[in-house]
Amino acid sequence: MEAEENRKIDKIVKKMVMEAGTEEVSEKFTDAVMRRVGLSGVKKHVYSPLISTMSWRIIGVVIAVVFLLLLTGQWELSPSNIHIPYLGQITDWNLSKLYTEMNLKLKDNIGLQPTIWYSLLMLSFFMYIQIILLRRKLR
Amino acid sequence: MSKLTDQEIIDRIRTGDAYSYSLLVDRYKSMVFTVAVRLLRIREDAEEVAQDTFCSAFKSLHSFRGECRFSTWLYRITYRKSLDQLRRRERQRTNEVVLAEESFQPGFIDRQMDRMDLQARKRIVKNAIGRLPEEDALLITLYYLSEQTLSEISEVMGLPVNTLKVRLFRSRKRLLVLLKDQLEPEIIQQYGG
Repeated sequence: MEAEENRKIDKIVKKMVMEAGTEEVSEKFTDAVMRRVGLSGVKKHVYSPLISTMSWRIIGVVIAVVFLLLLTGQWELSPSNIHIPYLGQITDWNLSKLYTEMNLKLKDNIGLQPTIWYSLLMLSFFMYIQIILLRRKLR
Repeated sequence: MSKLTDQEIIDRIRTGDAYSYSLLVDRYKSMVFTVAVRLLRIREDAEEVAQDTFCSAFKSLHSFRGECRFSTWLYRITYRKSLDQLRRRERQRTNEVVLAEESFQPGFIDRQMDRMDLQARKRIVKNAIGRLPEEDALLITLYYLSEQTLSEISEVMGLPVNTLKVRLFRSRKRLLVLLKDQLEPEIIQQYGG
């Protein structure tokens, strides 16, 4: 009987004390402590990217140009003959071995199926969204 | 992102990332302050003691061997610092209320509390804890709020576990008596008294 009452009291007190919660310190408490221990303030986490913004831009431009040239058919890839617009004909490159081994079938254009194009488009879109979300989260 | 454990933060600090200490301060500041408030009763003094606690803990972090929880170690420092402050103050212990072990019904208190709004309940409970003797208030706080075990509290307060058990039993009853005292005027007020 007494044990039962004790359990009841324990339960009630626990519920009430948990609900009442802790006392709140002043807003600048952490800063004040950090100053007192000789550290000027709360650490600001700065995340520096592995690849700089400028490098990303250069990579982006290069990829875009290559795709554009391939898509418009101005850049012709063939086993032993590469024609780059404005740069002229490069005939010394011998890609025949690579062509055979890797079974490259790049012709005048990239002949990808529409499904692949949609997939690439969606993938780029999701990557873009993810970058935005990650940047927000890290901030 | 997973939350760093206390030990992981301590390891970071030990390897030179001293700024990570702010993570520990943020994590325990409310509880350390609450412990100090329970003992000192004056918020300004308690905040001072809480800051002192974190400063001392930072300086002696190298001596923390991980034999107990970091929180237990921190509360022990808070407890000692609060006692030092109390001694300095040489305050008269006017709040040693002798409470009769009168009969009461825990169910009644529970029901009445349920009828009130959250803020009123919090105020009443905090007032009642504040009227307990300092060490009882601390015991209740550590046991229920920071969920320290009795053996951990024994390390903090330097008292045997059996003594703490008896004390906790009495403190709970005292708290309920105080709550009942506080509830009656509140209920009268609620009913337009």
